[in-house]
Amino acid sequence: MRALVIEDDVELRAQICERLRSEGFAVDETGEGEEGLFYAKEYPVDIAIIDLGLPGPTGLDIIAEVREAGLDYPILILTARTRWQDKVEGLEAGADDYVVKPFQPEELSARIQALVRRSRGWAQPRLESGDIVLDTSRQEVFVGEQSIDLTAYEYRVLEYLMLHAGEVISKTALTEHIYEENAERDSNVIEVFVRRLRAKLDPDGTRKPIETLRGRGYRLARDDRPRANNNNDGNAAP
Amino acid sequence: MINSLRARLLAATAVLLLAFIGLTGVALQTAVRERAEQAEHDRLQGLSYALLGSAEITDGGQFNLASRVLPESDLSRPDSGLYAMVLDEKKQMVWHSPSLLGSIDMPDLPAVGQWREMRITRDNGNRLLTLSFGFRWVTANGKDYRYTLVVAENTAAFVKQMQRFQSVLWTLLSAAALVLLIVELLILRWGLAPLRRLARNLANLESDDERRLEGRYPDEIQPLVSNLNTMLANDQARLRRYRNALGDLAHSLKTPMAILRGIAEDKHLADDQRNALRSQLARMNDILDYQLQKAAAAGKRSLTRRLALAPIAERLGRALTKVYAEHGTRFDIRIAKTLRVPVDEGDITELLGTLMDNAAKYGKDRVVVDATRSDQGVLSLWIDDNGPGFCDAEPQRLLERGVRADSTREGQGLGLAVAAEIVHAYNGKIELTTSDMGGGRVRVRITES
Repeated sequence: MRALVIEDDVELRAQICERLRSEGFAVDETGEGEEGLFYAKEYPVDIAIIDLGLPGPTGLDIIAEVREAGLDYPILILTARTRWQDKVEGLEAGADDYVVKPFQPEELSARIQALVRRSRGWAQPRLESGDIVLDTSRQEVFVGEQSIDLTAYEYRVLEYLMLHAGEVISKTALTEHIYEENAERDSNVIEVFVRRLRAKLDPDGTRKPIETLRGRGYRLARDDRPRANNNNDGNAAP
Repeated sequence: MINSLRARLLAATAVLLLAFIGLTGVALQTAVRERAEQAEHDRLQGLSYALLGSAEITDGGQFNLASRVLPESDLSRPDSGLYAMVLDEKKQMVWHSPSLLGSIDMPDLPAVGQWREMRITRDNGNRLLTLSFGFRWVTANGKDYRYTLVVAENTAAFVKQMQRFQSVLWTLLSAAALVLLIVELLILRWGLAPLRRLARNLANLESDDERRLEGRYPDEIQPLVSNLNTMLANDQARLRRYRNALGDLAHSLKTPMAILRGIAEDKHLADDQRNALRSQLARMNDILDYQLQKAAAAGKRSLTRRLALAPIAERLGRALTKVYAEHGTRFDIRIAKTLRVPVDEGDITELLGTLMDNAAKYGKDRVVVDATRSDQGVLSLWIDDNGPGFCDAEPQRLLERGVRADSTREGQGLGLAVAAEIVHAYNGKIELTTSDMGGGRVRVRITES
């Protein structure tokens, strides 16, 4: 999952980014509105955390432009202003939730996780596909009753595939969503991660949870159980 | 005390007008009457001269006046109303005009060469105006006779004529007074029209988006209007500046607080240090929120425009639906579209936002917002949820600063206390009861004006 953090206070931004990275996000960050707007429109963002009180283009401007460009990833606003008029303006511009400063770090994480899940149509923090269970709040993976130990990147790949269960995900897309913009990338590494994941999730090679579609990418079987129907329809710009 | 400019002006003008018309009437009536009486006197005098000119005394001392030479035909017609007679010194009637039947009792007669005018009521009730003239007749043979000539006219005709004149006079004067009063009324209407327009515009101000008085007013009240506009604009601008300043203050304090809050998660710190840092930060934040919200409340102000309540609640409902998407909370806004109340937009947004957020946070999945306004101008607003309700034995206590129903949920913990402050700024009442759905109900009552 790639998160974009636009917050002009360096220290606070560092805290937020550190926390997000520790939770398995690839994080792009900036403290500047103009740059933030560029990232928000050009990067493959899965969730954006935007401070409303930015210099340059304000958080509101960025949100409105993102929605106008037809991008519908979830946006969480950070605001120091407690007045409802400010919050409502942010939500009306196209944000999906808000967190008021000073916030409890775990609350911020919970809100971000919830937004990402909801944007993919998952109602619960536990993502399930067959006997694979991924708990986004604890970052734990189980196959059946057995806990599976994954590296950070393996976790990122699995989380992305599970959130997009049933969809074909290209190697490029996977690369884009698990790496930060200025990270060293090698799409061959993805094959390695997937191979290792298969080995860990399906050591005896009987269930084949991750399908390879030649030349197109990977697909994780979609669970048939009904998902939440409150798929964020508020994402689209009005 | 008459409490209307128009009534005052009208009353003053009416009194003045009536006095003027009355005096004019009396003066005119008196003048005309005197003039008519003088004319009557002159006529009788003329008649007397004419009669004297035709009179003769026979050698036997007999007073004679030939009927055919009488100067007025009325003197010949019996009981015509115009009479003449001549009395000798013993008050014996020696001649009378054919019109006179009987005689006229004269109580008093003038001396020789004197005229005397007298009003006499005859036995038959007729009122007469008489003019008597005493004279001495010396005949050619040297005899000297003393006579009195009396001419009289029945005053009935004169009185009738005067009465007709008076009635015409007073009718015309009354009509004139009425016309003048109506004209005065129209002048007042026209003259005071700008004041009425001002009053109307002031009343409309409450439904106006601009919150200023438009249009040009007469020079006498234009300064008042201009000053009022300046005051209204300043008032609004000051509130906006004030709120922006408070917002900036919040912003500049809360980002550093957020950093400290992050540091409080540092695993290198001892547990008690972390807890102390957390609780002190939470305390600071509560104080800051409470005081900022309290300071930002505009409260009751005059000439506040009326706001439609439903759109504000619906807007908040839409925004909060997103925020509580995880719970699937449904916001049911039942406020009538037509309900408009004179409150500041910032205040009502804050009040509704805080209460609806609170209801969504502590309720299950349903929030109902409704409001009515009584004919006496009391706004009742209630926000219901379907949660467990206010479990505190004394729910009113939750409205006090710093008491939180659920201390595990951070953030709008001061929601109810903040809402109570806003309601108090409008001299309103806020109470916590139970909703029809069994959950909590927050009821707000604000009396207009």
